[in-house]
Amino acid sequence: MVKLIVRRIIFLLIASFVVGVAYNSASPIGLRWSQPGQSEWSPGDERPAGTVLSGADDDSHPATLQTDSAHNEPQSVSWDEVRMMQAAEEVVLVDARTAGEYQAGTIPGAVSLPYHELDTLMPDFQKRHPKNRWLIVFCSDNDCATSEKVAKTLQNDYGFEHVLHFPGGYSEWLRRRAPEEDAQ
Amino acid sequence: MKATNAIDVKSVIRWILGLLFVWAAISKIAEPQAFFGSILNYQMPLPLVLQKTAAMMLPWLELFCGLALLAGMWVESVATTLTVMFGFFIIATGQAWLRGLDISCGCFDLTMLGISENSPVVHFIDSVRFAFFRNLVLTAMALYLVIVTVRMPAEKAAAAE
Repeated sequence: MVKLIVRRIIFLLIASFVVGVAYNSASPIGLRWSQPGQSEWSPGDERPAGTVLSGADDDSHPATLQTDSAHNEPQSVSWDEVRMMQAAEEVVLVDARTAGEYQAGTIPGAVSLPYHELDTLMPDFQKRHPKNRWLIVFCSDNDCATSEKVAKTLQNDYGFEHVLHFPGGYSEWLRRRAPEEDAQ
Repeated sequence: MKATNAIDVKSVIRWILGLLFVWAAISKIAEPQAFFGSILNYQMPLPLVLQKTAAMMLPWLELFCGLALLAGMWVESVATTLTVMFGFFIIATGQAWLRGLDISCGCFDLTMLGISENSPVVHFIDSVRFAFFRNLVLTAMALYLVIVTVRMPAEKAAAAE
């Protein structure tokens, strides 16, 4: 009986491995052995400062992307608008997910700012980024409300003037990223 | 009468564990990135490739085990697998609790039941502390299944003699 139990357990483990790898390889949001956007940083280390993404000398300012800090609701943007902003403005992408999710993979250049660690991380964040810097906050996908909460806090509590949130999040970036972004 | 009661308890536990694992598996399969991130949040001193392999495998292992339990198939093998799996979960949640890591367990997606992720109920149930004690209870249930399913054939064979 013991041999039968062991054989069945081995079968379950092998089946789980094969199906798991196949599923993740086939799914656009699946895990990869070489993870897009994965950083060398680990939770517990000092966080990367994030990259200020700026375009060239184009001063055009998309009228649809004016932020309105007089109101409490940061505007949401699509991935196409995020890319447009990267070309037109200096922006910082802010990852509102947990430290572990950030380490697992993030949009290249994003800074980690989990909602439950805001109080701890904000002093350093404020030193690195002036209040007039454009911030685009994201989390995992459209079902995640954390990016909107972080965006509101940055705007209303910390006085950042240009805060947007990207509801599609890391999942949408995974689906729509250009092949050359995997090399970053 | 005693044997009948023992079978009833076994079926109840089998169904509870089966449903729990199917539920847990579905949310992890739907969001593999988030599940991998949850594993990394535990900050265990294990190679990244091992943690990533676990993130790929575990949801499917949970699904297969859950479905097998619901179907009443290979119960002793599945229960043994779950007992060992829970053992690892106890170590992971225990070390996270001891180290004071304030992290979400990443075990079950309660928003699938329509409960807001901001609810204090979700926050408590998703905490590492709760997960540690829940894993102890689930380990006991799985171990019971192992003992009952392995012992019953032996008792039947003895009774037949």
